[in-house]
Amino acid sequence: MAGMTPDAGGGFGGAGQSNAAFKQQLNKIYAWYTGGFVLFVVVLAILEQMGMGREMIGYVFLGATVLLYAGIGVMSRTNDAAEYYVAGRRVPAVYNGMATGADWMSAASFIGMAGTLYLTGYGGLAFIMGWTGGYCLVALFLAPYLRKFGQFTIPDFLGARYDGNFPRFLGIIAAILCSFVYVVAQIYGVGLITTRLAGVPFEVGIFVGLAGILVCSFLGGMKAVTWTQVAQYIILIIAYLIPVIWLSVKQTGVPVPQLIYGSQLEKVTAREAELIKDPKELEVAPFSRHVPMLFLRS
Amino acid sequence: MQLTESHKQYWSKNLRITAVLLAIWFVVTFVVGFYARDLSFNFFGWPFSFWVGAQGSLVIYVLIIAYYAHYMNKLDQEYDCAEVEED
Repeated sequence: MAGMTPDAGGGFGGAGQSNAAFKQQLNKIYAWYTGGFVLFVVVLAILEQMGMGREMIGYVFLGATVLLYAGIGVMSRTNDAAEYYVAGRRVPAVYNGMATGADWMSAASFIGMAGTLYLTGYGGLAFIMGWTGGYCLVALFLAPYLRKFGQFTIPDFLGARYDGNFPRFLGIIAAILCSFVYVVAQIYGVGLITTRLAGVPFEVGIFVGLAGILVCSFLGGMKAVTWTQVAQYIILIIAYLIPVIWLSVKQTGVPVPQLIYGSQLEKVTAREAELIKDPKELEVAPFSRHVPMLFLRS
Repeated sequence: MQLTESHKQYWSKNLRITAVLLAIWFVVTFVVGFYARDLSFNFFGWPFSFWVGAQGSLVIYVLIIAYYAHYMNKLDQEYDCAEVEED
């Protein structure tokens, strides 16, 4: 991480390329990657038809994707400070957006948001509005100035812009607070997922997840993280969209979920009202206790 | 550093657009949230304030960011301080 030595991680843009050529190379690499992923899913589907067990498929999926991200992480290793902290500031906007999107769609959203919204209703929307609305604030107040500033961290920038250590200190507190809370939720999610998907005990799952994260990010810093996240985004967006679009087509024939969402919600609400009055439901009502925290550890 | 006239113009335009976009952000985030119960009329099957929280505000946020980036790019070109594409 010393000084400005040329980066040793080939494969993801040497320092000598122009931005246009770099972007073209990226497009090619990720197009091949997407094709490879689709092929992988098809092969697994065929294997499943031939009788491969559910656990094996779980292991293969988990192992293959973790190995893939680890591979990208190792390929992006670097010694250059600018590459390590800010990916050399050469990431094209679309790819940066993909990386940010992958961050958004991680365990905290998939598990945490879904659960929070289900349990708390309108209040849970505060998280959704906060994450994307907060991104708005970053774009208006911090991002352009941080890039022009040239250093690497927000507390640095705040200290220089507002002259002094107190703004810097506030920045540090905010960064640590946000990161810590988020990381705890993420690690918990990682443990849960590994437990369910691979059947390992919760504690082992956490360490496996952490090991995976370390391999992806330790050697290459922000550069490795960005390219790994872009790869994850492609898989995530496909994984998120397919079930929702499938449901939408099955229920209403319209492939755009956002459009029919509202009317389906009305139907669900009406059905819920019916079910609550159903005599079978009233039979078991005295025996059901809504204990939200309990199911998290089951 | 000495601020020229064009520096000050650039900066005041920047501040103005930021204030406008921030006002829109504030309305969509906090005003709609504050009046959520009053605003729960039917909107394509959704309670309106819920829809704003779940989908509408997100669309507006993206538009805000996109518009700001576009506006500032144009402003940069106008004031000759655009980021140069090294080639």
